[in-house]
Amino acid sequence: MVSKKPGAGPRAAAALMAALVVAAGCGSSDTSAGPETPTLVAYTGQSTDYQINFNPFAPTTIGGTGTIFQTLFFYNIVRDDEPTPRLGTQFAWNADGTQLSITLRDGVRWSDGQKFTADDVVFTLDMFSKHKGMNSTGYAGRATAVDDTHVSIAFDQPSFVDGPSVLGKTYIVPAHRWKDIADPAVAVVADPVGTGPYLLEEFKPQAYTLKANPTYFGGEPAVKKIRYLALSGNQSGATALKAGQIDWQTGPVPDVKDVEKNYPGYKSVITPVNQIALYTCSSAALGCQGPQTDPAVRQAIYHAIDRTQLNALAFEGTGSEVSPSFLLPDRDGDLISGKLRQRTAPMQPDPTRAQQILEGAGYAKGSDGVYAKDGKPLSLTLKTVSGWTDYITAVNTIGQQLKQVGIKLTAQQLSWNEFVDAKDRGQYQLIIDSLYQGPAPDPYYLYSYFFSTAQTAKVGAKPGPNVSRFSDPQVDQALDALKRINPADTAARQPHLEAIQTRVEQAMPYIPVLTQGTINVYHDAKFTGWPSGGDLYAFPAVWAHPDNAEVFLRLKPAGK
Amino acid sequence: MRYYLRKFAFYLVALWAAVTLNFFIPRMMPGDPVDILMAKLQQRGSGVDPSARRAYEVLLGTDSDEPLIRQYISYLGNLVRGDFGISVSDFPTPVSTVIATSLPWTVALVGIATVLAVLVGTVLGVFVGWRRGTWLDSLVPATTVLAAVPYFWLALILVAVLGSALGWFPLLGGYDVVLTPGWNTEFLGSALYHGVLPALTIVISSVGGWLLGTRNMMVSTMAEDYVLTARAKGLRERRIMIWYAARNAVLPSVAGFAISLGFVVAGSIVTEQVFAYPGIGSKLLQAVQNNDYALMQAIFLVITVAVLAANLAVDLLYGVIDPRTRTGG
Amino acid sequence: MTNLSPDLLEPRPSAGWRNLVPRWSPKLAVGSALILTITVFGLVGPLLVGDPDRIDNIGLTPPGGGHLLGTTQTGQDVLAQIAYATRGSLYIGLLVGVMATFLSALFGIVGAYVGGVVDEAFSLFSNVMLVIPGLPLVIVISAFVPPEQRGAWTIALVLAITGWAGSARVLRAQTLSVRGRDYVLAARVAGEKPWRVIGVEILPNLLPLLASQFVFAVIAAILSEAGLSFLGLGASSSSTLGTMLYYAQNGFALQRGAWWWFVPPGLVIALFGCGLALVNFSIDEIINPKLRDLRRRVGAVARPATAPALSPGHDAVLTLRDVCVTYQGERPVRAVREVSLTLRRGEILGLAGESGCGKTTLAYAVNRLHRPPAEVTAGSVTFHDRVDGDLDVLALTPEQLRAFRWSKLSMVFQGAMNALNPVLTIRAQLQDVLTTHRPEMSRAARRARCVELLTLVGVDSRRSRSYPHELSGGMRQRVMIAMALLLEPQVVILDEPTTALDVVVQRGILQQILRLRGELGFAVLLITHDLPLLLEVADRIAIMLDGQIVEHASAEQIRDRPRHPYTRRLLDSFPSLTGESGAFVRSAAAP
Repeated sequence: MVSKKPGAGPRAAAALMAALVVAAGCGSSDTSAGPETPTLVAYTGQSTDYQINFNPFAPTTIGGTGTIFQTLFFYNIVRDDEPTPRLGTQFAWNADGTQLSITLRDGVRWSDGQKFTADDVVFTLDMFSKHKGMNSTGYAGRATAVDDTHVSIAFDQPSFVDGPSVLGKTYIVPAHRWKDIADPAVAVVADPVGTGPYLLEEFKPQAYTLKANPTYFGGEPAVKKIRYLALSGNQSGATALKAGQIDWQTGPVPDVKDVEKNYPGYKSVITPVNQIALYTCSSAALGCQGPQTDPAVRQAIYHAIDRTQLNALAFEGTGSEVSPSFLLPDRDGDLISGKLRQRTAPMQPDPTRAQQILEGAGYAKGSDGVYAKDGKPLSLTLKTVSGWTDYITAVNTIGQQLKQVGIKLTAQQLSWNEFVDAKDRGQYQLIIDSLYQGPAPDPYYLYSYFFSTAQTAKVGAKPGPNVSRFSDPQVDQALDALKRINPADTAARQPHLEAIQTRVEQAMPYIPVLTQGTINVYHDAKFTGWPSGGDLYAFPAVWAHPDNAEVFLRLKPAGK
Repeated sequence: MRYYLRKFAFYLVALWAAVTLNFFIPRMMPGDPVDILMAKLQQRGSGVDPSARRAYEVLLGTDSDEPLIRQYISYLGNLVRGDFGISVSDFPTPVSTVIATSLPWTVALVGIATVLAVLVGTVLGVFVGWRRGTWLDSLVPATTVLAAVPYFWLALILVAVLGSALGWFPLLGGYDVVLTPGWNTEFLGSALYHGVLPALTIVISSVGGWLLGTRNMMVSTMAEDYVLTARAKGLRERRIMIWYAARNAVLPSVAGFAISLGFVVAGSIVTEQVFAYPGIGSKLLQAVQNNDYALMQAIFLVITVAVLAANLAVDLLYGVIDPRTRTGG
Repeated sequence: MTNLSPDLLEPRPSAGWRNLVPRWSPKLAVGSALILTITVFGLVGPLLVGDPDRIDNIGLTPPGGGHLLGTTQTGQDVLAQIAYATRGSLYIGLLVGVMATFLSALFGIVGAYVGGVVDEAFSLFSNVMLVIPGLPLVIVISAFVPPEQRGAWTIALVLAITGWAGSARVLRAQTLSVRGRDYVLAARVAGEKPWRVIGVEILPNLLPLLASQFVFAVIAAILSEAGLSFLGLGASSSSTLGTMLYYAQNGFALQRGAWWWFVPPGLVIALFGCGLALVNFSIDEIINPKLRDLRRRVGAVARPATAPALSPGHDAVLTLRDVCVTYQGERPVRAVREVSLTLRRGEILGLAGESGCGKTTLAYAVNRLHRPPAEVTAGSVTFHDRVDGDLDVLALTPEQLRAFRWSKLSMVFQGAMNALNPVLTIRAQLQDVLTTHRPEMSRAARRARCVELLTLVGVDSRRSRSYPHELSGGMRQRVMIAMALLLEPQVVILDEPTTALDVVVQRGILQQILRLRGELGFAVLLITHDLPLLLEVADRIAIMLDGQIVEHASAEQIRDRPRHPYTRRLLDSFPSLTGESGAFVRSAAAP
């Protein structure tokens, strides 16, 4: 009986498939090899497709800040450096902080050939005055162009603290191209013209590419092409890193302790900048509800957290000590007050102390091991964002730790939108997030963002960054005073800083957890010149701007 | 002819049902999706454009006193025009554009993978059913185990083994981002290469169902009188297997296509997530994660319409290949 | 299928319920073992393992040292987590399985039973729910439910209402077929209430199918829930295998090579699903006994004896000597016992006997059409070819057999209703005989031959393009006859050629056969229970009883001088048009 051998048909099909695949494989090209110089592939954590917009002021901007558009000066927040001149070369305040004079760099051209002048700076600053939607820092100055290379800004109030945001975080845009834009706060800019070291070469929803600007005033950078990828989240980032497809990434990475072993050719640098805290909706007066409005509960949680264990299990040891004053122990160590109960938060838990505090506040341990007061158990919800892998692990760990003490913690994972909504409306008890720094290495900004009454609002109304609804007249007074003092005068500032610190530690509206080490992984074998432990000339996070431009300017392809 | 008319009518009803379901789901759920969406848009810098708000109210429901039937009519009108609003997660792209760019990827992936699974499963099923009592019988439980494996688990393991460890296939994406999409061989080749792993996952998981179904039908068919007649007629084995047995056996498989397509669509959503494949499934998940209700609803509708269309095509095909339906009606 | 008489198979099973219990087989054993192990693990495991939530400073560790399956990123014991997670998944799977099966039973069974508008409506609803894609719907619904309210019951409900449609369709089809059975109609006529009819008559027959659908529902539920949890949309507070995979992915388990965290949950799901699928196979075999595993017998079949030499003087075309056919099984049944027959060239030999005596089985033996478990265990079948001499049919190689079939000896089967392939045209089915056996014929010649034969049997050749279902029963039978004569065989076996046709058509067919026999000169083996018919048309008649030939003589001898008592009974059992009215019944009833 003659019949086809079973499996011959499927085998033929498989062979055909294999042939197709090989043919296809031969067709695809290498991601990063160019004929002359390698492309630097960066991943900022973008998990959706890019939607083109290089408007540095729009909330939907995807990049170009620092690389295409520049600021007047560069402030390094990880080191106490003098600001580096960029488009500006010098600046000076008058005695009471009501006038800022800036000298601009000469001979700079926009990428379309036009000359850069003081008019562009004035135009940019005036945009902030005209369009309230853009003016998130509350800029209230009046800029005038003295001549082509000199600008003078006048303020009604002493505005020393506004300097860094004007000088270091305001991206200067060309007046001749922007003057006809109706709503610069949200306009889509697909064809950006800037003064920076890079130009936009190509845009695709999955990636966009920048190329070196040959007419940059500092000379064409050595890294000729930079590509930013969009993937689908931390997971894809880790996978791509492992495959050597990404050259610069910031974020949690598996096995970060042995980067050089696990990712040959790569190195890592961990910078403690953001401070992880459990935000609490702390003020019953402003409408918060829940046990966390009782300062005793917050203190108890503070003492119950096992920070060493948390650092090991959730953050792979990349965290470091945090101070209840929220001053960075490394950078601001000198400023930490001696009057604090604890200079840095204890890395070991103190359950006895926590329980004492609770019992002192009227809580009694129930039969199920959970504390209760007036019949209500001490049960709190802690919200986090799904996709923030390290925070999710941290939340689970903290939940277990608090269980030992007798506090019941329920974790909730929300989408980013729901998370922001909860913060804005004050509809939360505990949230895990981090306190970030301001535009300069100065603790004033953190206090002003997170602890001033001006930045908060009642529950139900939209606040600024101070979502804990903390409001203290002493702190407000101290902040006011700081505004009038020239930041260079450390002696005059210190008493006010101390006043703020002690109040902050007492009230603890944000329970300090750890200082988060921002994990940056970079392809040292492909490019050299990265900011590292010895020389942190910029914040090495791939998404930090304009720091990323500083890094690109210093990098060189390896071996060249 | 009646057969075709009845099929068309059925699918129209199904489409109407899906559309109406889509209309009611957001209105039945707790919370106010429109407010959340508007807040989202404001964050992205869109402003409180009343016409935008109106569009979302029509799509998602509102507290106003407007009678439901009027909302329904407006909703249908918007659908027909293809106006689903602006996507929040991909702001400021309109939802219809988001779908238009991602749909072809999924259609290609799911389409090719399903066709492959059907072909491989049916052919194997025919052989397994034809030659019972040989080692081929062990294929049946083997592929059924594969069908019981969760798609995403299989996908992740394939990524780890074939992608990371062996490095044979790319790990993520739909194509090499260096290339520009277009009808050139480089891009198509890259797209094909990137599609192998995702397609493989889908095929491996779903081939079991086809194999089992076809094999069962082959067994039944081979006991039929006409197969006996064919053997008595002295026809060659191959002819009997194909023209008498398989030809009759695969008819019910074709009819059962609807159920398996549902599984394939489900699996492809998760597969796209794992492989960061730029198809409509990953867009759906992205929409869910960002409370992008407008995009979510639109994608659901599009997927439903696609599935309905595929089912209709298969039913029409069935009418062609089974002559008994044509006269019976 | 008519080649097997129920009497000759294994004895009829005693009670319906026994029939429903699956037969033991390796598949069932493995499947049940898997399900049982995992279920016990899920139920009892949590009581035996430690606390799955307890974190430990050791962090991510491989199996060993107190943790059988290693630990997670936060030092939690993986084995403990799997035990709790299995319980969670099983719980949801069971919930959904029950709910979905209930829904599909409601819409499938009740709808089909009640019939009419309700059935149409339910059926439409089921079909619509079926085509709307399930997972996207589940995702959309889950997304709208706020996370705080997403508990296990909510998820189970959502999965159930999106997953019942497929089962409903299957159940409906089966209910429709059962509803038309006689015992159901009898119950309804007797006035039983609908619920009782459904519960007592219909449901037991559907139980295997219901069980199978329940199993499918559980597998699908567990898989869907795992997928949902993995995407972050699952029940937030419960611990299932899906949430475990979610956390494993969140902790970069795969990238870190922590296979002990990532592989076991998926493996548990896969094994459980596999177990359920294997059990489903066994249930399938109850529903469709043809699917039972055939045990191929190793070792050669006993070679039947070689054909003895012909006695001179007989111009035989087919000789059967001591043919035995047995149905192998637990209790082998001997369907044909030492049958010896001679068919002379050009004669009509009638083979008569009551239903189940083995006539058809014998006919199949001649052509070696038996499939396991039936086989020819002894005897010889010799075909005396006009050209090629004697052929030992039982010893032919497969290719020789194939060439032999139809060209030397053809058959017209009982009940031509199903003997024609429903998806090929008449012309195609006629022509494939020619293309196989006479490859040298040209297309025109083939077409001409088909037309010739169709005309011969009285079928309009224009109908050759029709499909079998478009022809009447009589026409189909005639087509079968035409097909049997295509290659001008020397023997034509007719198995009950007229049983399903009315008397007038019967007459016409038989006359045609006789005429054709006259023209073409083939021998006919006419198998029927209709002895009077044979008395009219056959030259010689063989009477068969319980697998043996009890009398073999000329038609006149049988009619006038029947020797065997059974032959006499047979003759007497047919009512005579001319005899006394009532004689038939009375004579049979007489002791």
